Amino acid sequence: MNAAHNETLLAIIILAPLAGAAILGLFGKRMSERLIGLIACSTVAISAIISFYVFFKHRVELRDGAKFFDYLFTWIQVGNFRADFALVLDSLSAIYILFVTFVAFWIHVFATGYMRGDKGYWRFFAYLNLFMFSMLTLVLADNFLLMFVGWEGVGLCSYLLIGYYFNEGYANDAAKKAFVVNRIGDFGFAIGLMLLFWHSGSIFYFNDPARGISGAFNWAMNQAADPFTASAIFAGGLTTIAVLMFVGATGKSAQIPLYVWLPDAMAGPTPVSALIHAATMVTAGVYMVSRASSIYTKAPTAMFIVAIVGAATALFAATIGLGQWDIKKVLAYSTISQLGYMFLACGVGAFTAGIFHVFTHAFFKALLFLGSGSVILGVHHEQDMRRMGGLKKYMPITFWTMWAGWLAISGIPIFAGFFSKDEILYRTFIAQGIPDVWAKVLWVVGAITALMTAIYMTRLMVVTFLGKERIPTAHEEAHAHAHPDESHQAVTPPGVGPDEHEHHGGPPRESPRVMTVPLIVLAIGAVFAGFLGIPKGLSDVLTGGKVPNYFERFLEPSIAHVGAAPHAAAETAPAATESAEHSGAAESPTKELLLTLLSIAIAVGGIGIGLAWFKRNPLWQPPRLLEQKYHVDEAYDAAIVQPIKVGSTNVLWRIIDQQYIDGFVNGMGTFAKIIGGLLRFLQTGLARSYVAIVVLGALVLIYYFIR
Amino acid sequence: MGEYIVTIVTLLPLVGAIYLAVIGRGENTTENDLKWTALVFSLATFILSLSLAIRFVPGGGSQFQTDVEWITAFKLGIRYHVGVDGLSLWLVLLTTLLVPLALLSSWNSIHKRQREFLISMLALETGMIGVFVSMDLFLFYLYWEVMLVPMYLLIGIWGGERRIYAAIKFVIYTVVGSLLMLAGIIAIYYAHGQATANYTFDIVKITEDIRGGALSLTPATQSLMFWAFGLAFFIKVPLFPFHTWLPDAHVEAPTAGSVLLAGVLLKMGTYGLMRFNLPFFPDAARQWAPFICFLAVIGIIYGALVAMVQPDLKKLVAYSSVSHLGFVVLGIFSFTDKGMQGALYQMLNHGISTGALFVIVGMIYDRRHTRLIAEFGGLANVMPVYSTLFLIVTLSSIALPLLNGFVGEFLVLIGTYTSTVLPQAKLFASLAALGMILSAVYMLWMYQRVIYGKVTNPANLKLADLNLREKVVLAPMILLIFVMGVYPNLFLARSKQAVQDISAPYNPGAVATPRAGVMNETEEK
Amino acid sequence: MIPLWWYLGLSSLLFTIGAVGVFIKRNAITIFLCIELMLNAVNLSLVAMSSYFGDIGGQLFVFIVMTVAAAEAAVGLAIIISIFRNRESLNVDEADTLRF
Repeated sequence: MNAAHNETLLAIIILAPLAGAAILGLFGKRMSERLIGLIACSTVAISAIISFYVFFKHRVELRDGAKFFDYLFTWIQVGNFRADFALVLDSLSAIYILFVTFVAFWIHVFATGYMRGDKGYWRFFAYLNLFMFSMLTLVLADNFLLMFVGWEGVGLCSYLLIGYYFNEGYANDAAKKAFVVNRIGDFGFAIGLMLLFWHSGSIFYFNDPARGISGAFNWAMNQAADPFTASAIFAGGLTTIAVLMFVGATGKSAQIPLYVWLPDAMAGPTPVSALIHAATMVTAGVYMVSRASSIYTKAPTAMFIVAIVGAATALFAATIGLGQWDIKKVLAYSTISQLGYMFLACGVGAFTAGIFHVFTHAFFKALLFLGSGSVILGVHHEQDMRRMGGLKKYMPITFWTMWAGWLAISGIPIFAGFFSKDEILYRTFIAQGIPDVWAKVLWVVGAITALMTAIYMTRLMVVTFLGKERIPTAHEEAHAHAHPDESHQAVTPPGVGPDEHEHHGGPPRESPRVMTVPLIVLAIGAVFAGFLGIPKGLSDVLTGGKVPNYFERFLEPSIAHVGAAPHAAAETAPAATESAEHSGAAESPTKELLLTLLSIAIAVGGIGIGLAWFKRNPLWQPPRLLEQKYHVDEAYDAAIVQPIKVGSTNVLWRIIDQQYIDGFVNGMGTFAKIIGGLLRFLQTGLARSYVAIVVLGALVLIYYFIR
Repeated sequence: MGEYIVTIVTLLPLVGAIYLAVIGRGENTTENDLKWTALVFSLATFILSLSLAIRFVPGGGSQFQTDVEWITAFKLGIRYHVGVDGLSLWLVLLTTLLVPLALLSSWNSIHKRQREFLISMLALETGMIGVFVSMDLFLFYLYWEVMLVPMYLLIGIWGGERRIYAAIKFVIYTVVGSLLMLAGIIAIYYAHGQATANYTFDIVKITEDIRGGALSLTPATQSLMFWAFGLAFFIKVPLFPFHTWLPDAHVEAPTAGSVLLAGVLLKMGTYGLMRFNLPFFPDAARQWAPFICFLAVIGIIYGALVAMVQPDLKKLVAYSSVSHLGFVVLGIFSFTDKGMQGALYQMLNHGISTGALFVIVGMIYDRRHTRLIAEFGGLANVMPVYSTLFLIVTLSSIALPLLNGFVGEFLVLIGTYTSTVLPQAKLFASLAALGMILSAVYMLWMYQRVIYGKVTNPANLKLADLNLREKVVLAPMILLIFVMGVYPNLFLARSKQAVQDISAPYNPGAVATPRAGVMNETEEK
Repeated sequence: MIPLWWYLGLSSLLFTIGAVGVFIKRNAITIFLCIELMLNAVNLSLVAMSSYFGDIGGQLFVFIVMTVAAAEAAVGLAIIISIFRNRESLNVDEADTLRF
């Protein structure tokens, strides 16, 4: 029942976008925009169709814990170390490829409209397809090293796409920052990976008898759980592995302290922000933690750290989001905050809730970003909300679709975000394995974040779409363009960026259909996706428990549980399900219902406050500290970047290298010169004195031998 | 030709050099004829050497051997013994590949003494191949020294402004090391002869006798000889703090010289460590490993930090070599098969990637006659193909997965991390992994300053993109970058046996007691 | 049979005369002749020893020395002539261009 099967279609899922990237990269320059768009979208469509096909073909087996392998070739094999290029489909990766390919396809479609007229059209879609290849490799990999391939691959594509407008200094800086900060996280990930290999002798997730592979998770599940102490972090056991891997997750998923790259990443074109920096790539950290749940559940300290970091990030980013004027920056901080939520869920052991939030978030955040892209294009590449307002009448479709996204992220019932967010808050409240006080504290933090989320999203909607028009006249516009730094516009000089003349001037206007259709599709997702995972308490009350939590039930076999007996979770999936239900003894429908009502109240309250306040004061000046993002970037620069730069230049290079080492070497040369200078006085120029020395030497030798 | 194939591959470039020296002294020989002659000779060498790779039997030990008496006087036991094994196979191929590419890359950039330049290049090739194929210590030393002369000329004649200083520095550094090595060679020759009554310079025999216990040296003797050999190799690698000749030599050398210097010459050091130091002096190697790994880790971080702040492109690449070669040394002294395979792979990677980087720097140097990063910026606007290829090489250099650099670097790290022989192995591996972050910093920063942004310097506005010749130079390297990253087993399978022979004595019982979850070695082609 | 020491005595006498000549003479030709004298003194002792020990090796060595001496004479005289052309003098003390 838990047997390994083969599914050779998996390879096509990752190879189709790769082929697209290769074709576009090599020949795209000579293609028409229409053909490029067709190739890019169709390759992703192939992936999506096959993903749906394999999902529905195997959904029953997957739910029962079956795994489908697709072994391509052995990538690296040295001694007892082996890494395959092999893919695995289990319920976790199945869900991931579903929404990744689905959302990505619609974002591709949107982008064909958004990027129209751009000189680097082919380059853009080649990168985007390459990104899809990396992301799907990350998700479908059957071992940690191949996951790392995708992990770094998405980082690369993120780098390329953030720096897409390569003539802009800030875009390049942002791209480099993203890559380097991610590398810092990868450093932790790599060491965690090596430690895991050191212990388990394998970097594969699961057993595959066909290839004679034993998985690292099997080893992990047979270990006793680490104690819940701080010293476990440095003990070199499971907790250390888990913490190190989480360092990687903080980089990729933009958590404290490595979140700083994500807001800057908004320098990329908006579809990129939607695809990479909202819906897919940034959730890789959550994916990785959930994937390694059998390690994390044995490491309570690491779980606790995950929860704390997640909650702190959620609150911290939400406060900054409240103080931003750039529409994309607001969404960026909102993404960081929501990612924090997901980690909070993972940290309290509710991995399924975390993944569910990833799932719903993919829809509504992609929707919000694409909507903001539509707005930006509609007002001619303006991102500052102070120069928007009253756009509702110009851009009705964009407004109404974003409206769905707004309610979803705020947590209004029946919208997708409500179910997942509610689930996370409830799970946090009843969390076990961490001190009860902390569970309540985390819950309070989560609730405050929910309130603030509702407020800043309402602010965004109100300031952008409602109220008076504040769109500058042509004269003011010219003024604004004279200060590109101030307005953060993504406009690039002729030759690289979108053609300015085409978009400039005139009143705001609705985007073409190629852009609004994806908005509508995603809006439908943002409204209804949540019904796949109705929390048990709600279901019990409203339908008498008839509607199960499909999502949770489906993911069950892929996720380990805190306190599960060794070997129970993966080997015998149904038993694990049973025990999971029993272990949730603290769950009670009434408590869950109460908390649900409370979170509805928070969402409604937040929206109410937002509407009441920002309708009257749309240009209310947020506290400076928030607008300046707590000066974290400046602090990092002063504390880390500058010392390294100055130290390397002045100490390492100029003093150690050039003065000491080279000084020593050149000193040897000088020394030899001095000795030679002294010895040359022996060279008298008198032949007879030379002879005298020779004879003297001969006499000494003769004396030595006949002595 | 059969068993003489190695000799032919080794000496063919020298024949080419002699041919170039004597033919066409008349007036009707153009420089083009000379260049084509040299190119044809080096290409023929490459094609012949390809047959080595094709006919090589993985796990078959030293192959294509020629072993004849050479100098019989005084019963010295000097033989002409050449052959190729898993350790040297790919290094020989790397050499034969890089020489024609280096010749092509400086097709139009040598303006004086064209004939002598080509002769030096071909003579250098013979020296380099000879070092890798020698199975006799005397022959090895001969080639080791022979190779110095053309390199000295390349830097000293066709170099930049401070070429004389750089050339002399290069020679003195190297000669100091190699004289000690000569002493070491004589010492081990004598010790081996005393112990086995068989005076021979044969590397294979000495290695076997040490492994079999016929020759056992006291730890103190081993330490002395270890450093006598080691210093020569560490200088060549170069290991911190013996590295300061490298930036000067690289900056002053012409492009072709830099390519071969970085691509091949540095590998002779690490090759020597694997060929001699580890098999010959196991106790000393174990004893000194922590110290050497300490230096290697310092080199990794130090090289990266200093590379970061260099204003000159070539210097930046030179310091990055210090960092990358630190990984190689670390892998070798991890004593694990993973670490050593990684080290060997990293040698090839570095040869390809850094070779390509020097070619790339040479291309804009030919156009602008400056290498200062500040002089450039915005090249993506005027040279898109160049920028794309540059990006791939940059990414390979910062070890992006599925490109070649990653495989080597990761194997070194995991090999070091899991080493049971090296004390504090985990700490060394973790610190070395910092190099991963730093390499991204300095390479991407450099790339950004050269390629991205607006064109600020008017001199860059009219730069031409790559021509066909330049694309042909880079194409094989780019191809290899991908192939080596995606399918490393092609290479690893052939070096496996040689590496295991070296690492096995350091890990007794490693095979006997497999750890939990050990995987079957099924990939045995 | 003349005892060996006669030969050796004559040989060392000739050698000493040659050596002293090299020391005290300034004329290049004279010095040159003195050197030849020393060489032949050694030749004499080699031949004597060879005959005394019955080993042909000593006489072989003499041939080598004679060959070398002939070559040396040719080169040496050439040098002396070219020095004379340059300096109009054969005084070796004046040829000190290589002095420090």
